[in-house]
Amino acid sequence: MHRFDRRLRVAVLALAAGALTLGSLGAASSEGAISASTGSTAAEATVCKQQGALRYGLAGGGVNNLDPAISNLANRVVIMPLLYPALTKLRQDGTVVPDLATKWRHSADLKTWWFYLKRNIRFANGRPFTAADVVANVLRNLDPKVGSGARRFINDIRSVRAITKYQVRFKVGSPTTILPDALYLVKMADVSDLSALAVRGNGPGPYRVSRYVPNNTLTLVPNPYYFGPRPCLRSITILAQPDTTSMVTAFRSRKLDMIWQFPATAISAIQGTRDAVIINPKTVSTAHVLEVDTTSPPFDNPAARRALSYAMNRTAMVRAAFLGKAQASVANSPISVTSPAYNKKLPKHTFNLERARQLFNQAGIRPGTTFTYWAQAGKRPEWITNGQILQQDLRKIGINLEIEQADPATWLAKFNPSPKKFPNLIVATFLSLQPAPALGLSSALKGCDCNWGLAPGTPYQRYYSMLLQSLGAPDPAKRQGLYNQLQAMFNQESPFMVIAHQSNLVAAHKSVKGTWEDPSGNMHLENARMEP
Amino acid sequence: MATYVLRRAVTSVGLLVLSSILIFVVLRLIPGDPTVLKLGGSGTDVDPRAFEALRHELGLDRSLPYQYLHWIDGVLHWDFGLSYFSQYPVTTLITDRAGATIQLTLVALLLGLLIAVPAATLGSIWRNRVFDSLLSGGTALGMATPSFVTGIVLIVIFGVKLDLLPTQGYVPFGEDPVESMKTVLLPAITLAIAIAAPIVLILRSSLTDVASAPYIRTAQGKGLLRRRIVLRHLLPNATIPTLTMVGVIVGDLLGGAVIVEYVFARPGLGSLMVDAVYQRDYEVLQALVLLAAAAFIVTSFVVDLLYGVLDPRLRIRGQEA
Amino acid sequence: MSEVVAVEMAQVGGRRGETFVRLLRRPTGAIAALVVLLIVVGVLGAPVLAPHSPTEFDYERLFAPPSWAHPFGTDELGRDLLSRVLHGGRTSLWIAALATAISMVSGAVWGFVAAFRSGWVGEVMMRVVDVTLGMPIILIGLVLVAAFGSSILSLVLILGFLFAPATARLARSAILSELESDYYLAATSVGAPPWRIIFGELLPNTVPVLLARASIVAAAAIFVEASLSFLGLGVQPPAASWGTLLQTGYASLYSSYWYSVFPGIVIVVTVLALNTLGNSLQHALDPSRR
Repeated sequence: MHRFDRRLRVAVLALAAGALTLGSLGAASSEGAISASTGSTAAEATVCKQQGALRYGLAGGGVNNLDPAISNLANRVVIMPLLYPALTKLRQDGTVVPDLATKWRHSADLKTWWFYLKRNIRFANGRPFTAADVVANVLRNLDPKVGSGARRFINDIRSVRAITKYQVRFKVGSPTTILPDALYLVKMADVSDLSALAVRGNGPGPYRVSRYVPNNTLTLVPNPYYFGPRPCLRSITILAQPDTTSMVTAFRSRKLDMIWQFPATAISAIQGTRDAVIINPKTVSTAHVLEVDTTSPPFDNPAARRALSYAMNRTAMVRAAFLGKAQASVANSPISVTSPAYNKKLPKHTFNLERARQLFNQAGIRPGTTFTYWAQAGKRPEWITNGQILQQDLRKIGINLEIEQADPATWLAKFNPSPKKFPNLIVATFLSLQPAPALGLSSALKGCDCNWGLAPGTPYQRYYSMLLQSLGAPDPAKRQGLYNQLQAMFNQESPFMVIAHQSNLVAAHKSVKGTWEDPSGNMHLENARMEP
Repeated sequence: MATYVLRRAVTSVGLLVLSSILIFVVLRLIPGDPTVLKLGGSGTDVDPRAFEALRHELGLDRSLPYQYLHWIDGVLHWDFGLSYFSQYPVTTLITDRAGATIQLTLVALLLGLLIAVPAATLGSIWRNRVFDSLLSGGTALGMATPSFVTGIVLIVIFGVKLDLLPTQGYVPFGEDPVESMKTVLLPAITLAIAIAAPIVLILRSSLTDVASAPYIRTAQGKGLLRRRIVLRHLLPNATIPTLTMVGVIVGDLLGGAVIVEYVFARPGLGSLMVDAVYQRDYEVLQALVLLAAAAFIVTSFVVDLLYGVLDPRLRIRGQEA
Repeated sequence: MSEVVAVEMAQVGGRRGETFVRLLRRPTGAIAALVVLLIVVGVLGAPVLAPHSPTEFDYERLFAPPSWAHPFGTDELGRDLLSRVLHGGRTSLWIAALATAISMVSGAVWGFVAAFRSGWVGEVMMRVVDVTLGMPIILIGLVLVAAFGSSILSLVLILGFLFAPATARLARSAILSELESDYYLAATSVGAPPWRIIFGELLPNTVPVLLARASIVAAAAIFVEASLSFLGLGVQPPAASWGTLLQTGYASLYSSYWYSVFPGIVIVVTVLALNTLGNSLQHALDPSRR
């Protein structure tokens, strides 16, 4: 019981936490790679010399909101471990350990939980952190008007109360074993003064805000009141870059010490930069996908979706857009072909325009139809390249594809929020995935990781129950069997088209050590240090 | 004179109001509103109630005239609202970032003048055909090259290859004067190249205009040194018509700053404008455009006044018009 | 870049035919005219002159450096950049030409009406123009493109609208000058019908000034279109303009340095030539300046 509780915990946490950091805005966090660390990470216990100023570059939007409860561009997730810890935290291997809490216990019926807080926690402004703050933060995250992304995973909480100054009691509706994991998503901030929070960001983390220019710069310095080991950097500055080229330029000219998500086209340039290290995790974190509206014609018909899949020349796309540095998803599976959980027996959707034409015909889509390829302006040239390849190929079978780019707000507004309909639109975006197959497969579910996917009343139900089974199955072989079936279903239904899987590219100066990516996609800089 | 001033003042205020309405309406026409980006940015299935609550909180569900009046009311109390994203007060955002733009425009103006004034006056003094052609060629080239091209070339040369100067960011002058000037140098040069050309052109044309004036010929007849003529007679008189162009140059500076700040990742009002447009951050955008319009209207009003003071002939003609 | 500079510089005067003769006598004017002609011919003749199809992918030769087969190299899909630049020129120049036409016509009409309607109507019309003149063009362009999209049609309309105010101002001062000239006073004192004077004498005399201005507007249109494309709001594939080629080249800067060089040079040369042409026309129009 205990053993598969843990597996269940990890898997569902993967499900929950990874879903939070979706990259549909095209600027998602990276995840997956446990191997994506620079140097030793046992910094928990070390006492280090506080030195170095880390300059961290992000393209495609900077930090523009200091409130951890507001869902926003995933660029922000890097600041969470630095400013706003939670009751629990994730270790590199995916286990959940105490952070602001010291321990927890639950009732026999698993419906009541008690969390005990450490006693020496203070916010960056010196104010003590107590159970009342936990309650305030949890209630805020539960409030539908706030729109927190964590809400979905904690909304079974029926009551949360401060029993004593350092003890919080939770009551949930149905028995759960994974409340600590879910609470990892509820970041703790000082919500007693929201306008101050927006301007100065007050949290109990190892760092505090020293300078903030929204969407441009965020400078963090060590929090003198932090309860844990002293951070090893004198400052971390997160600098927004107008585009990936200037980000790479800044890195090459040593104006940045670490850059996140640079394009494959810059790999050789960075390799040629002195003292630069490319952190390219072996596990794959990103799936480049094309989304369609599966609830309205014409793409409510699986034949139409499969047709689109056959019309995608994935090998050409990987070659041209990703310079070969991605794995084509030839059988349209959300699980990467390099993953051990990949179902090798899936029927391939090899590029075949004739088959595509047949399937389109079957779905009632005649030559002369026009679709719109919808991408973000300026931030993702790879998607435009893919779009042009698709455009040419579709034209050969008489289908017109118009490519349109828009700025992020317009782009998102076209298909968000659910249940917005976007017929005839093919949206270029990407998903953050995890090594845990359950997450990749769960992304097909409507309302889970995305606003589209298998519509209810269809194989959706079967898919969902199979997924839950796979989460609970103790036997690895049985689990893999379920994964195979799920992938086969996905292959047949094709709720969205997976083009290729790719790992995030991160580069750092060789003096930067101690950074790592957790399975839920956060870049962790709290143990970072710079050794000249 | 008094009627002239009064009329100009009234029209200026009217224009200000007109601009505010215009920008307000145009922004509301743009598809997509900030709630989607703010809440939906993570792509997770956000409760539609959250969107409605946010729209209500931001006043987006009220009628257009109501929203407009609400905004104007705030403006008159010097409250420009909160940025949708950062919940940062817009006035703070603007004052925080104004420093970067002001420093950039001042240094760019200085450098531009440093290039333009000698270039134009030397041309007048030396009357050298080769120099003239070089100058024309240079200014023409400066006007033909988009500022982002110049900026990128400078970044690559001075930032990457030579690694001499910072290529992005902003250091307030008070904090570290040396670093501050180093950071502003590349963007300022880029902007200076863009504005020096028009300044040279205007200065030269006014110089040649004035050069054919009778009193100049008198001075020449008197046997004064050419240099003296240029510096003591030509230049001062040529600057009067140049005053008209001050408003235009300011506009050029502010406009050029938008792209230059974007390319150099400089946290100024220009890059704030670009971000606000992308994110549909209405409050910020309204405030910025109103500011720009006000700046221009005020500048042209002042220039007109100065003109009236300096040149009595205009006062009369202005009353006739 | 300030097209308002050009407005202030324009001097009105001289008959039509003389203008062009004087233009060609100045070497810079002649060279500029020649360059513009070459560019236009090259671009219009793109289907014939381009060595390859601009849309033909070649996965074997991505980001290839310049060679005999591909003088400008190839792009991210292996397409020949020289052909892309030539065909892209059609888009750029077409947009510029249409935008110029729209701005000239609308600006001229606005200016003429304001000139003839003296009194507060004319005053208000010009004040509106003055306000729009001061706003940074790029900002207005940004907002409008964000509002109305970046199709060729909306770009043309937006650019046309952006450059109309300065034209209006120029047109108005041009007409006003003509109204003070001797031949006009003579014509009115003789009692010639107003229509004949306006359409027979006044308007034709402002044409050279406006033509000079048109050249400058065309240059500015190419310029602003390139800037908007750089910010990611240019025309959409498969259409390409010099601006979008420059932007894609910049995004691929680390794959190939030369990708952005050629569109960049072409933009600069074209804008330079058009500006010089416009300035030379203006010089040629002003007898006092020779």
